[in-house]
Amino acid sequence: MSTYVLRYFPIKARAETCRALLSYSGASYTNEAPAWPQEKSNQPFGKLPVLIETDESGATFKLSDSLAIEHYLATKYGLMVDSSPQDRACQDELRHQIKDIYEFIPQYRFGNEDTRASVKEKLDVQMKYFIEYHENHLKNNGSNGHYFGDKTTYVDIALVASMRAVREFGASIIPGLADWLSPDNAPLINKVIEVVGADPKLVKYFNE
Amino acid sequence: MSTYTLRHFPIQARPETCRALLSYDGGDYTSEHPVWPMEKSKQPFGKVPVLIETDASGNVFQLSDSMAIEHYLATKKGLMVDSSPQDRARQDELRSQILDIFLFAPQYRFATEEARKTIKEQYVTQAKFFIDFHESHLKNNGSNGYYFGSKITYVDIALVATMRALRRFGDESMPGMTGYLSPERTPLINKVLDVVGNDPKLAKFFSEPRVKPAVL
Repeated sequence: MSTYVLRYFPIKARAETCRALLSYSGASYTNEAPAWPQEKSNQPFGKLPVLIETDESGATFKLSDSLAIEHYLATKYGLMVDSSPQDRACQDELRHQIKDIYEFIPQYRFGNEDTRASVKEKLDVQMKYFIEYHENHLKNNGSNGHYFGDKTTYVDIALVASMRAVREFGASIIPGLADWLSPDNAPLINKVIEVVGADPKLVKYFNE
Repeated sequence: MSTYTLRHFPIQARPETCRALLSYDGGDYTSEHPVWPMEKSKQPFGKVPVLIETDASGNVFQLSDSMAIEHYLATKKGLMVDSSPQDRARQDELRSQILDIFLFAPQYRFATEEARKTIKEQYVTQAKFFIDFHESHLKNNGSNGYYFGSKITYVDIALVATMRALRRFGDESMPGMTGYLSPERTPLINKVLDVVGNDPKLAKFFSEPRVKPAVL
């Protein structure tokens, strides 16, 4: 069995889905919060997160880029959709849309005061597309609290983890963000959060 | 046999890798240039590019997001690395880094004067990491002009499509951008451009007319 180290800042931001996948897998892992920016040059691409896997023989595999890490873990633990190439593509599309929404938060937070109004405007436009597209997809899948079929797959976990980051990190930063994701406005997205969020395999993730 | 339409802006920018994959090995597709922003609300996520595939029986599959489109096409054409899960992950990582470098161009272009200095600094830092990481990877693969094994795969095509766009228009977006990625500084990346750039299966992609972008 492999053990893992996930290197990232001690905040609920871009590495949430990586953390949730590690928790869900049941694998042994630790979080490492490197001193920054002192340790920037020690990372493969100068960025975080970084995953370091040590297998049974002691060989290590180092991987950067949050989506590459997510795909690697999701594939290893059987969470990738493989029912058809179109479903797989749809999975990728849905995942990236969730990420696109999340990315408004650091953009708003770390941007100049004077760009914030325009970032908020774009966010409001994209949130509308996001909710419509995802609610529609979830309805077509049977409104059962899952994105594909009737079991937990990668996008379910990404949604739960990302919305946690959005609600905890983002809602205090961007006014009105939480309202978009209310049960009234996004009932089926909320059902995924409820159903998948109750999975015992994510207990470790929520307790961190 | 499926037919394809790619909806995108008529500039040599983000969808370049999608276009290279579509025309790879004699592939055919039509380009559609939506009027913007009037046609924004007609797109699945209000964005382009969008791929529309019609199969032999007339079924339509619509896909947005350039990365999702790239992966779908690369998988279909047998260009995804599948030698091991680690190699597959490394492929994703390398592809993502190429995109990260490219994105500095529009980021700088659309930034305020005061933000530009920081962006340029960040670019210079990341360009160095990019070169170190990619030159090292290419050396470990045998310095043969390919990212994996000894034949063309997805990352080779992404590198060629992206670097061509950058070397052509990068400096207009961010003055001095391409100097950091010159052939002298990136010998093995440049070898990929040479070797893969001369592959006959990409001849169609390179011969398609390129519109000089107003913005990158």
